[in-house]
Amino acid sequence: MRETQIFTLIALLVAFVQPCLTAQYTIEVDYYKPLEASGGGYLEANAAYRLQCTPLQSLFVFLTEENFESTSQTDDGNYDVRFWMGDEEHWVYKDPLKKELTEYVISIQDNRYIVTDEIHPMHWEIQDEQKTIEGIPVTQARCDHRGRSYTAWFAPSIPISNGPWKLGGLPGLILEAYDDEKEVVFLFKSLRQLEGAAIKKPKSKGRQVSLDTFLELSEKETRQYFDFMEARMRSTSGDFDIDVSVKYTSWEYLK
Amino acid sequence: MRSLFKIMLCLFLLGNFSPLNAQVIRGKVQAEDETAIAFASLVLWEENGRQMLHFCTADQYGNYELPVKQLSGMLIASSLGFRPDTVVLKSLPESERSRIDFRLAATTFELQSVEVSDSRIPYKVTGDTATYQSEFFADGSEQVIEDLVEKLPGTSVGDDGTIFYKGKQVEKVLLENDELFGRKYTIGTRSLRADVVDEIQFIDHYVENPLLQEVKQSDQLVMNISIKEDRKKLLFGDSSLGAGLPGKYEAGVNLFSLFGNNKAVLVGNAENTAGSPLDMSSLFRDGISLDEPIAYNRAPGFLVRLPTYRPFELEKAEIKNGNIYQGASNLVFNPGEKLKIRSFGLGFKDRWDLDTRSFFRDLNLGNQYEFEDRSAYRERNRGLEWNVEAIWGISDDSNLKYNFNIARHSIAGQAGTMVSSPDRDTLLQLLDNESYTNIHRLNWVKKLNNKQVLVWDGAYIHRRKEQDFNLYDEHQDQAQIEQKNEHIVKDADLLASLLGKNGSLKYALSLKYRLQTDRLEISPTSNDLLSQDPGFEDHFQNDYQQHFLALIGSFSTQIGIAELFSKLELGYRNARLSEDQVSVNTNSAFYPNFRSGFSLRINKKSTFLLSGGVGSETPAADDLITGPAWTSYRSILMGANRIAPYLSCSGMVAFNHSNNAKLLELSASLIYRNNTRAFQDRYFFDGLFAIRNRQLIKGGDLWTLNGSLDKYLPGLFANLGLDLYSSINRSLVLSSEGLPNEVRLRTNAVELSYTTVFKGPFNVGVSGERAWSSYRQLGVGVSSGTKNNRSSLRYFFILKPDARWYFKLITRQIFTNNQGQKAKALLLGTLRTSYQFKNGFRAGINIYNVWNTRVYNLENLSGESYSLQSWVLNPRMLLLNIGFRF
Repeated sequence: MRETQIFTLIALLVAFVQPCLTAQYTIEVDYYKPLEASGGGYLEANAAYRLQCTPLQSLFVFLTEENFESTSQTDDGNYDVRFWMGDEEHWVYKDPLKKELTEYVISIQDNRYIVTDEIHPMHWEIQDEQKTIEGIPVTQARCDHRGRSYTAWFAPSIPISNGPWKLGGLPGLILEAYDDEKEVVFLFKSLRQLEGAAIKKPKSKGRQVSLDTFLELSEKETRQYFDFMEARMRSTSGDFDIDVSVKYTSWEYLK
Repeated sequence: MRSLFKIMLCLFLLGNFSPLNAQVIRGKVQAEDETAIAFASLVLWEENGRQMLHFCTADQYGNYELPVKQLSGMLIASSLGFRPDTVVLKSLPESERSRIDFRLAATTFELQSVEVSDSRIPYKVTGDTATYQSEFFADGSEQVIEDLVEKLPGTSVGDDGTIFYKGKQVEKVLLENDELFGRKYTIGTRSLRADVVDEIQFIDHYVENPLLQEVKQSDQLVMNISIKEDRKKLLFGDSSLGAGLPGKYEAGVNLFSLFGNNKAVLVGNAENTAGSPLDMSSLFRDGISLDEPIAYNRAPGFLVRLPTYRPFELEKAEIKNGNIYQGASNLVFNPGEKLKIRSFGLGFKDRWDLDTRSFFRDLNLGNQYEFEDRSAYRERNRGLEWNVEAIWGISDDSNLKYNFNIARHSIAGQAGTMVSSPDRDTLLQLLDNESYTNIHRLNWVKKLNNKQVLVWDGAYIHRRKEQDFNLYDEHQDQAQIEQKNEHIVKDADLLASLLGKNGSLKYALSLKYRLQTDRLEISPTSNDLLSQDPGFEDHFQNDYQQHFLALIGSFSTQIGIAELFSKLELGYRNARLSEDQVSVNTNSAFYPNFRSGFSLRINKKSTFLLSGGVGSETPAADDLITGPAWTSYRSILMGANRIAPYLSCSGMVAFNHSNNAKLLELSASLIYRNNTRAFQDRYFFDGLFAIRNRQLIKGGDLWTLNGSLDKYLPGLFANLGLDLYSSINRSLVLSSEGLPNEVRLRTNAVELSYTTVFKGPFNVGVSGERAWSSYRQLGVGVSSGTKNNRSSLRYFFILKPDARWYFKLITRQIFTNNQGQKAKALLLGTLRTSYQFKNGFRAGINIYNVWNTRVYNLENLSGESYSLQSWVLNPRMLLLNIGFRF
């Protein structure tokens, strides 16, 4: 009986305490990633990303829709081909109030997925290193998360615990982040404050899956796609010897 | 009772050392109207505000829980649209420190919009410039610039600090686009902290003078270091002080200053561990800053040298045991827009005590001769050099540069030899060398129009070397041999050049004149063992003078993907030798010199180079088989008193493939050199010591094959390197009887290295090298040969568990096999540890020669002769170091 009373009291207290929603400021940050060209150097075009965030929600959008291709011939006569698949629709929405992270992604085989995930589960360690990005002082933090080691530069002067893609959880907005392999890279492009802009979760439709399932499906679909392409090339290439080897990498690895 | 005690002990330990001891600050973040502020940031800083200690984010109801190690520091709560609030924990009573509520005042948040104008990418290439952002390549274990440069794709650093980018040597290192370190850039690359570096650029075909940038055919590669904006300070650097056993000390300071357009560096150290990476003594050898005034300049040489004091396997820190004091101070000063003054200076004073013993027995031809050297070799080495440059922009199309260089160097060496048989005797060798140099150079550049530039160049070079060599016998009061040498070379050079450009064609036409006077005096004593060498006494005193006039034309042009280059020199020389009142007109002749080639840029990553040349009489020093620049007319004169025209030729094929995106570097080269007349070192063994001289040989050729592969393997977080080297050096030597001898030296070497470069707490590297050489002499009806091989293994281990701790262990092992006889395996190592405190201080322990076999033996067996040399290595040294970075 006593336990029930305590529970009821806590529930009532929680119900009456409302978070402060009055001070709403929206910040928009653009990031980019240089795209590696086949055989060295970088493409002129970059992949572009945009984050809009308030302390209470955020939307991160992959802006680059077009595909890029870069081909070079290796010394042994083989071709090294790199594809950068643009994103027709790809976003990450975070709702800290509901402790929800939703990613919407269209796969290589044009399947649409809504992937649910936790918000900012990474454990950051703040480093001594400091620098400025376009005049804004930032501090370095590092973490190991889902198979990658990340370096992030966050701005304590912008107290929003958020960042590009799924990254966040630091006492300041992440302006720059990259992993040690330089495959997941978000470099700072621009920053501005939006007046009166509201952030809404896009109403995209797709199959709702867990991250685990999505990663499995994504790899399977990619491999299937390139098997298919290889078979097609073989059937049309006559006497040419076609041997396609595909290196599949993911931004996240759960195992 | 015993059980109870154990339980209490466990509880005691838990209470003191377990994480349960950690504490939590709880509280609530609200607005002034008491509404909760959701997701506010809470950060606990050090009290001085320098370092973040812990952080957390409040929940949607404004509640927070911040686990902390200690209830001290400065807690700041902040949220967008509110003024941050700060609480210093010490200001609160201890009981109130674990519960802190915040009330934040609302404020207008205004964020200034910013947008980067230039994309920051890890690596980019613009024309001849490759730019690396240091943050993408640094992992925090780098101490100085050199450590960082080694990690950039396509770069490597030699043992002496020379940097190579894509196989090409970096000739200068600039700091913020200014030449602050001179040609001896290890002053900067081994002292400037890596963590202040923002960008590193490699600039090929670099030309400093803005008036020459369009027209000069430069092949110079430089490296430019940019400093992070927030680190550009009036004064920054670091200092360290260490002391330990047995009676060891080391102290150093590296100061850098950037103030406006002006820059300065001051580095110095004092030690008796030989542990400093800076070695001013070796930097001194070629001058610290002055570009060679005009080609063909040469320094006078010493004739007598004490025996080489160490085998090549050993590093100086392992065997040299003495005091070193050295320092360098460089300054770039811009008093006005049109005037720039650079000053470079260095000085050093070494005292080396080297404990070495050698034993030699010669049983050939029944000599029954043996001697033993049991005394320590001692060397005093002092040097001072100052170079000043003033660059004045007279107008927009004209500038003037003046150089002044002065240097003084002295070496005093002492070695003792004990002869065991047939008579017990002790001989003492003393050698004093002094050299002086001063150089003046004036360079005027005038732009005639947009396509042509005129350059006038004049230089005066005065070099003098004095030598005093004494050999004492303990049974005699006075010196058995006392020999004094003086060698003075004076050059006056004038050069006028017209440089131009037309489309992709660059050309230069030059007229060069040189007057060179050369005086050599050698004063032997009455006890003249030297006279046993026939012909040597002829040139103990002579004067030599030459007039030299040359017309030089060169061009380079781009045709499609090919770059063609060619250089033709037509010279006339008149040389005269005065000897014992007799004047000999040694040579008066025209000679040609021609070099041509092309490089093919197959694509952005691959380059192919083919070049070759033919020269007469004065091939560039590099084209000679036997090397050093002082192989000169003087040597020719010593050999024959006349100069006969001869030809030399050389060729090179090289390929380089560099793929930064794939972190792959591949290069291969084949070099062939031939000359029909060249020189080699010859030792006149005069009893117990060697007098080195140059001996004319008839000719020879050299084939060298080099291959190297450098690949970063992201999957292994490691860099894999493979180097192959092979050479055949064939010389035709005239024997003392005038009969031809062919000497063949074959060398093969392979080196494999594996170095991890990931950002984790561990870094390990291992490299192994195996080298084989064979020496074969083919005479008339006689042939003899020797075979040697050597293996070495180096490995290092770095542990950097966090930003503060640093452990580095380097060890190496050497296995030598000389002519079938194994020398003792050598095992050496150094351990460096440091802990960086938050306020810039650091402390650490260095152990030199952690493992040390104490004695290194090198045995030689040839016929019935036998020699054994042993070096007593430095002892284990343990030093406690403290340092400060600012």
